[in-house]
Amino acid sequence: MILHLLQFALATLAIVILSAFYSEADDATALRSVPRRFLRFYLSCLVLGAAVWALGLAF
Amino acid sequence: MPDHENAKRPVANPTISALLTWLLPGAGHLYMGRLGMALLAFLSVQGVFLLGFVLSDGRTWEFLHPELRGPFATLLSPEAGNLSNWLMIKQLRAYGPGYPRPWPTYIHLGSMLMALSGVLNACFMVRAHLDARLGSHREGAGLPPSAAVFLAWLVPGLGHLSQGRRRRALIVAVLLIGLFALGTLLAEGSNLSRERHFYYWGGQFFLGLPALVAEAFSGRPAVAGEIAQMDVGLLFASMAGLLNILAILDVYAWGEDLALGNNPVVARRKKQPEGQA
Repeated sequence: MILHLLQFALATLAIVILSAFYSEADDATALRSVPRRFLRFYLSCLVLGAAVWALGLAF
Repeated sequence: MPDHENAKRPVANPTISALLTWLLPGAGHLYMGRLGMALLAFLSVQGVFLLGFVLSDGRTWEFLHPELRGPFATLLSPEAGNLSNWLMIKQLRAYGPGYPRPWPTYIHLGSMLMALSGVLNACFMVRAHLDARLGSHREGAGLPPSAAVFLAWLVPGLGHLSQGRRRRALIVAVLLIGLFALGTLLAEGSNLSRERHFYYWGGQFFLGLPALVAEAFSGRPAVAGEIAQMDVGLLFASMAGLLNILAILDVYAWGEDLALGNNPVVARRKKQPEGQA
């Protein structure tokens, strides 16, 4: 479980950094936005994962 | 629309130019009356494709698992960057006769070349789109955006480096090549074969040379047993290639703004929806 969360965190980091670079041309601003983007994306995915898991249990 | 663009009159419709190039390499430039560039596009893209087609006997799509085959299943392959050739393979070879037969000796090299022709044509589409807006006039010095786009595909970060963005180049290179290397390690090299993983291979092809060189040196080893982390490995390696498309788009946007005489940082912020910068 921990390993999967870490692997997902790594994938998330790559997605978030590239999307920050895509939406912001200035390096410093893009890198500053990474922690916020990372938290938002990672936590959103966790919530989605939990919802899918709960639905799986319910049905 | 970038500020500077308002002051220019496009020499042709950029969307039509790009779409024509997608339909037939060079057609977009022919439409603009630029015969030299049209010939260069046609000969280079079709030359690479033809070489690949001969080496692989046009049988690349037979790599696709029978259960996944369908009329449009191969639109997710890099060859789809060149629509005329995609249609040609579809008509001439499709998925083969339906019984097993030995692969041609150089089918993997041929397969890479055919995929490369799709990427090359995408670069000419970029060129046609910008040329239609600017004609031969381009602000600033340096590489044309289409060449920077090709470099960004060739090695992650190289396109940024060609634009003088060293820090971004380093981060992109380390992140994407590292992700690909980790994926390859976890998948024990099983990702390095189009025959084994047609779609994942298509994704990692967008990582350019690192993926192709790794495949060439690996010799595509046979899978002897169960690979515990194979799914994660395949995902990481393929993701690295797909994320490089975002890096390529970033390189293009920067080059486009410079060519239009805009400040890339300011122009990008203007394109963002409110509150997303």
